[in-house]
Amino acid sequence: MHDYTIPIGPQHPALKEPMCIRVSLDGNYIQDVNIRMGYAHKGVEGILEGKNSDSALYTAQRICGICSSAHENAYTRTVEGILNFEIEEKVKLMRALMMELERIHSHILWLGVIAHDIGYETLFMYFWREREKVIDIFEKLTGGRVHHNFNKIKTVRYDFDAKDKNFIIENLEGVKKRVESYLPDIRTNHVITSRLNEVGIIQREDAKRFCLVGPNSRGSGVKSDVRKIDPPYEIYETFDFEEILEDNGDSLDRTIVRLREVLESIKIIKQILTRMPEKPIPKFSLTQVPDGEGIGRVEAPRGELFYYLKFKENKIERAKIRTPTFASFKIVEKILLNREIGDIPVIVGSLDPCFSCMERMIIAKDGKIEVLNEEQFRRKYACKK
Amino acid sequence: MQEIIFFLLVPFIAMLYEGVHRKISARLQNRIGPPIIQPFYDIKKLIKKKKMKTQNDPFFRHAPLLYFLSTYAMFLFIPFSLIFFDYDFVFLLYLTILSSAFYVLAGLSSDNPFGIVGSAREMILMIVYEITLVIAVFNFMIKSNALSLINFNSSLLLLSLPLSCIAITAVSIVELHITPLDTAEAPTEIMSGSGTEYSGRKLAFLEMAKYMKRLFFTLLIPMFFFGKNMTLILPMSILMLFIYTFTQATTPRYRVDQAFRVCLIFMVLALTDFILVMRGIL
Repeated sequence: MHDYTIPIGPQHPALKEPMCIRVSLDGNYIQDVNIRMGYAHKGVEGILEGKNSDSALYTAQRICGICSSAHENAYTRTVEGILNFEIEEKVKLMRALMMELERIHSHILWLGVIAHDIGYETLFMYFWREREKVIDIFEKLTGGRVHHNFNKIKTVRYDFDAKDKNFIIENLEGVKKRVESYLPDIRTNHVITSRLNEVGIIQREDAKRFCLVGPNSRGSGVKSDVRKIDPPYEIYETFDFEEILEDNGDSLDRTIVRLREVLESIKIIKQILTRMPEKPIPKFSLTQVPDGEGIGRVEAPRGELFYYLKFKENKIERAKIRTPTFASFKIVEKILLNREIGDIPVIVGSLDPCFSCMERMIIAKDGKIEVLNEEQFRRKYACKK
Repeated sequence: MQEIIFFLLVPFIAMLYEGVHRKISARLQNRIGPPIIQPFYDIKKLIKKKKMKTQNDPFFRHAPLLYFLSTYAMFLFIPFSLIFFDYDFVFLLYLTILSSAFYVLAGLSSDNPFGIVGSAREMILMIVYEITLVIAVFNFMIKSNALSLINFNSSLLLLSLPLSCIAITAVSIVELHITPLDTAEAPTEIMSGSGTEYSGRKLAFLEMAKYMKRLFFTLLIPMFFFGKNMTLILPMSILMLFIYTFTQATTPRYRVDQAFRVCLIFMVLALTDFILVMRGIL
């Protein structure tokens, strides 16, 4: 018997997007966790189906608000894979530049959120001040502060202006200086470590078993960086950078992994800027995609982002997107057990969930699980084309 | 005469303090912040709101008003003694505990899971911090050899009773729900604890009582530290307000078990002082 049940969400200050965690408490400790999702389900895969390759790009980049560049990059890579098209070096460099900027932006945003979760409002504001600098770079490069609409199939939309180089380096130096000064503070501050250290421990085996990717798995010491594991994709094998690994697998280690990754990304961006060629980007033209299927994956800020696309008559017949935080929700139930209510924001927050891109349809009516083949599924649930 | 005018102005001064607190907090956090008179607008808006009768529980309906009144009554003794009698500081301590108890009652009677958890946390911490407050105040009164607050005339107890001074400052931080010890109110964990279910006029009373409690402690602590010198108390109370704001801005929040342990340390400090004072060493 449990003393009482508390619903955390769908609207709760600790959650930035809607989900519901019902926790049953025995005294002050969590005995049972029940996760309910589906509040932000948009049916993105269904929306993508039936669109042609160029217009589907706009949908892909709007799947997520924080890693929009990662989504469009993964999408274009998949389509280019089907086309068997090798893009130019400058385009590769520019895409990598956007991806790394986005990683910095996403990690800093998340660091602010975790500071807010443990009640450290000032650090939250300070981190978001640094984020503003990165957003300024985005605005300079693409004109958009949040959504960039940067990628095109076979090319990118905006050329790189050599005048912006100093602006980017200046802003990133500011970010680097700040992040380097916060890193020892977070490691040594008594209140921060007492809230984060040994909270929400994910064992190495668990991280593998639950298929965690990105900083969540790297915090447990599991190598999962798509930029490093073989073959390293696109141009990343030519950069000099380190895959950040920490061993303990608790919330503090996941925080430190993200902080250190910001520094690594800044290192990569500096290498990109020195190598950026002067010649203009290739011109864009509409593409006809042959029938076929392909996969593409990129290292999004939260981990590996995987796309599967099947084309028929220049239209997408089937799309499957596996977003990085999709796997991390099963493990929440496990690591929340025997913790306090005060640990819920820290544990859920430390996994950096992004519901808007990970919500998928789960069919579980009256406890029965339906197993459908594609045709039955279409007949029963898919929207009309 | 000025005592009565001050007593009548207390709610407004408290709101002004809250405005200053928000402004300083914003400047520390690199924000512009709301105007200093923002709390006046907030309270005005809350009072104008339509009455919502969500529950018939009489405690739910009256606890905010009682919380407000018991907090207001504390200003009868601090900073000017409008009422005085022997051992009136015991009555003052009783009032501080009573006001906390009404806050707990407000949460418990609201039938909201977050309110109940908030009240439970407040009660867990009350076990330690109210006792610490009582011991610390007794230390100051015994040291100054006064039976009533009006006779309290020792100055610079900050130097002779440093441990009690640390303890009473820590207690005020718990009582005012300031990080790192604002566990009872933790917005990101349990919404805002006991006040979760309240709205409109009742919320206005709750908020006003909190503002007034902050004003009370910013006046009480300088009085014990530096003596009952009115020209000194007011600037010192603004300094206290800054210290509270600075503490809030520069620390994250402890979990409830950690907060309990931290509070125990301060209780030990106060007890040490108590033993030393009773034995006549200090």
